[in-house]
Amino acid sequence: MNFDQKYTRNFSIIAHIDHGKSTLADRILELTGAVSTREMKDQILDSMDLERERGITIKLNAVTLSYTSDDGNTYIFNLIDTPGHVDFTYEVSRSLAACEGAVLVVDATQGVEAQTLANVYLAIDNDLAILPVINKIDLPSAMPEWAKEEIEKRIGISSEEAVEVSAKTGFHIHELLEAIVKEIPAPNGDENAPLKALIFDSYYDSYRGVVILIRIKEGSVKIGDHIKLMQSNKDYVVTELGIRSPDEIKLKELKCGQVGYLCAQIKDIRDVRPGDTVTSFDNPASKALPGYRDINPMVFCGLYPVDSDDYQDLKDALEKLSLNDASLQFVPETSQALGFGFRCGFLGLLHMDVIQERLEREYNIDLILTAPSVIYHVYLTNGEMMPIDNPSKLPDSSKINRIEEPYVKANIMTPKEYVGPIMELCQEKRGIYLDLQYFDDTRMILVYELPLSEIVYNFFDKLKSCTKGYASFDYEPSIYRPSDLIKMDVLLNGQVVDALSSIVYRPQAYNRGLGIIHRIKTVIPRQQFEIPIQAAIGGKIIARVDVKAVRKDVLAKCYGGDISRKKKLLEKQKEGKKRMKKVGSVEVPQEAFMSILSIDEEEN
Amino acid sequence: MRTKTNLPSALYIHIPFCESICDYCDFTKLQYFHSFAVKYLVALKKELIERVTNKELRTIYIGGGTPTSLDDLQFEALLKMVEPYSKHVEEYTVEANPESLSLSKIKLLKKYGVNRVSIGVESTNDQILKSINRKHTFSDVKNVVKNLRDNGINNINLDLIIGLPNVSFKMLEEDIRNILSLKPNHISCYSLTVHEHTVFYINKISEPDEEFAYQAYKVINELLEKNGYSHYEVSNWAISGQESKHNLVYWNNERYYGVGLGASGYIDNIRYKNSTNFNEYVSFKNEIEEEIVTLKDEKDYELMLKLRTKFGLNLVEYKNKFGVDLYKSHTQVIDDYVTKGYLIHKEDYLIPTFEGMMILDKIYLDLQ
Repeated sequence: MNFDQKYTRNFSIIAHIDHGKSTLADRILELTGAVSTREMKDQILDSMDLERERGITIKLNAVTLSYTSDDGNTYIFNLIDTPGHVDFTYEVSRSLAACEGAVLVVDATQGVEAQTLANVYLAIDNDLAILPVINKIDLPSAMPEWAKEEIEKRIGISSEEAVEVSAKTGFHIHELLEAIVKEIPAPNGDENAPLKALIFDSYYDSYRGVVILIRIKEGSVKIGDHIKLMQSNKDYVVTELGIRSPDEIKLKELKCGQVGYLCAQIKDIRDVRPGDTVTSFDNPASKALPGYRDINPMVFCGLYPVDSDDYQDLKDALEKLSLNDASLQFVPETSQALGFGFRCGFLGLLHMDVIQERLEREYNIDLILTAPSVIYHVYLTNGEMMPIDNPSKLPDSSKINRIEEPYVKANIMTPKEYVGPIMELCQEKRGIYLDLQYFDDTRMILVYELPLSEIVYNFFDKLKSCTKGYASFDYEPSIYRPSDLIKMDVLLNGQVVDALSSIVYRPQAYNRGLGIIHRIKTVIPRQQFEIPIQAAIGGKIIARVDVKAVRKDVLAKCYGGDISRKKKLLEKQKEGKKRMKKVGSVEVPQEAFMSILSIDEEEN
Repeated sequence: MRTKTNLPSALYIHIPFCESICDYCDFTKLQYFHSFAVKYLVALKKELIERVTNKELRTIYIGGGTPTSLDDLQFEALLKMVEPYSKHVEEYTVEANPESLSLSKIKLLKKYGVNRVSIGVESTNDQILKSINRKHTFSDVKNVVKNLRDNGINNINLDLIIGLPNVSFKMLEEDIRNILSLKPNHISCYSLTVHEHTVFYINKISEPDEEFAYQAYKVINELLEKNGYSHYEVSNWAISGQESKHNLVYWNNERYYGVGLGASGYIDNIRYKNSTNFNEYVSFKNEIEEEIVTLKDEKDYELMLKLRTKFGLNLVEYKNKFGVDLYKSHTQVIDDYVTKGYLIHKEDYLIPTFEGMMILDKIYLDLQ
């Protein structure tokens, strides 16, 4: 492949979840001949099973395509896919920094959503050219003109050039490719300057070491070159270079403007920080690229193997996963109830969910997760600040001067008729009202500061139910604020179970406690004896329910045909039992630990 | 490879017809029509001859549906086709509804060597019977029992359902007293289960709650034990020595033939279930569902089934058969159940008490 910056286009696709980003990417791949239709799995770029099943993109992904335009020239397209979920905003900004343009996909039936808006602004901040695309115009309910108006009014960019496509049927994909050639600028870095390449992702490969995905901003790099990572200040010799189309094609050299991968026998992925700049060791660039902000996990939970023999396996699995996921953090911890495990940090609840599923599926480890917590800043009477990510570690209240908790700034977009219920919800969730604006004549944007713990708790579900699913929302970390917080313990059969402790807002403690124990009651299997479940604050019981003893649990009729059927039923129960943890004399299923999360006070 | 097991010495035959369909029944059954029954008996005979290779059977059980819904000619044809298998039989049971067990059919039973009859009494309250679409009264039951005895069939089982809608505790005790007055050899009491595709399910009738069912079993057990019946299986009581030999085959995890529409069987290491599609069955297209029973499955079945009866699980036998010392691997669990009065650990046996029988599913799971 002859390479010339002039004939290169580097772009991302930005879209709200379900607006058809992955399908559109597949169509582009198909039309540029990257993959034959025969090899085509649905949604090529979402390579993890989990991504395909859930219809989400988790990791970013890059692919090089070639396209012969109507102008007779062959162009190299580098398509850098981005995740759509708020948990992975960080990954979006990483992809965008490697591009000159972004294709903005808007669903012709849905219009612009809050999450899209957030990502478009990220793109604009990165000085990218935005090419609007109206998707799903094959649907009878499509309103392309309305969607274009939305783009102009909401985002404030021209929609004149917007291409109307159907990713599903392939309609107008050719026109889209032509628009990419025309509207997205070619890279224009200095080919003769010292090497400057942006690391936008990396992963570990057991044969080649760390594989770095880079975008060459200036200069070029060849196999055998002595390179340096400017931020981590490590140097290596390049052993392999190439592009992914999406199969890897090895190259001797990557030139200015190109997107590709680089291997240099790098053993430790922690030395390769996304956002870092690769330069020449002998002829270094004077200044590194701006890079990315550091990401910090926002949500923490305890991860324990159901079978304590799996501890080492869990450790190995977490290590392997963290090789390709710098945002996953973990440190060993012990729980009286659950034994040895890890306290893990995640970007958000979806990230936590994804890691849990990957551990269970890919590494075959049955897990108990404790309810997620945020990091509290606990100021002690001696003036020290103690960060607490595990409620059971909260010091005695006599030693605490005050507790601060993290807040987020949340933008909630909603049809105007739901503004009332949302404000009520935010109030209930201890929100601080910041702003309310019309987005268009039917929709409004509400801005609130909310405790992250309330977001983690059940804000999402509540928001969905009070707006019939019409509201969308995103958030960014804001500041720590002091709150009236206390630790609530749960006792099973008279014993405190540390893994069930939570930090709660004092005025809501009673309702929360009642909710938690009622929920636990529904999931704890009955035993031969009655089991009291109690909620306690500072050693004082505030609420109690009992799990009744089992009296009759047997199939009355068991003759010829019932036998196999009965065994099948029991097999199912056995599977469920495997996932239970014995705490004292009580068997506790996974759901009990999550019950701290999903309760609904009004249910009681 | 596992060693070949003995041929089954028990046979179950399913007659799917009923004169009317009861509101709670989910067995494989259909409305009786003369022509259907003719076709059915042809297909049944074919399966019987092909399937049942052992003629030295110990027990035979003809159930349904309602075997007595057949007309007399068909009924005799049925008994005749079974005749070659019943030469050495120790226990030969036929299920019957009180309203269709005529004197002529009783004489046929006697003629062909049937020595046990199981009668679906369900309730002894005529109003309740009517409300669940049963066509008999309690006086029909009394007559049938008398007729059977007059004709020399003395081994009689009476079936009762616990927890039917609108049956109070008092009525239940009344039921038991009525049943006892007939001095049956064997009594079965089943707690109502509501299955999909039944009138009960459609009318959203709920199963008795756990506490009611437990108390009902407890009261029944006390009354029956006082009158000389022994609680030998979860839902079954008998005068000592008169336990159902055929049903014990199931609970002892032994092999049995099953013949007929939707019938189940266990031969070698296969548990199978015949097609439940009548048209297929009578056109000799019997699609059989098979479950291959591995040694581990057999072990699980053994545990699940043997703890159902007062004869219990022999731990030494279990160890020899499956190489697992259950007491050793579950000492704490077993001792705990023993201390709390759910199990008796006597010599080599693990035997459930009444309380234990009531929570067998839980015990089974805890012994995994």
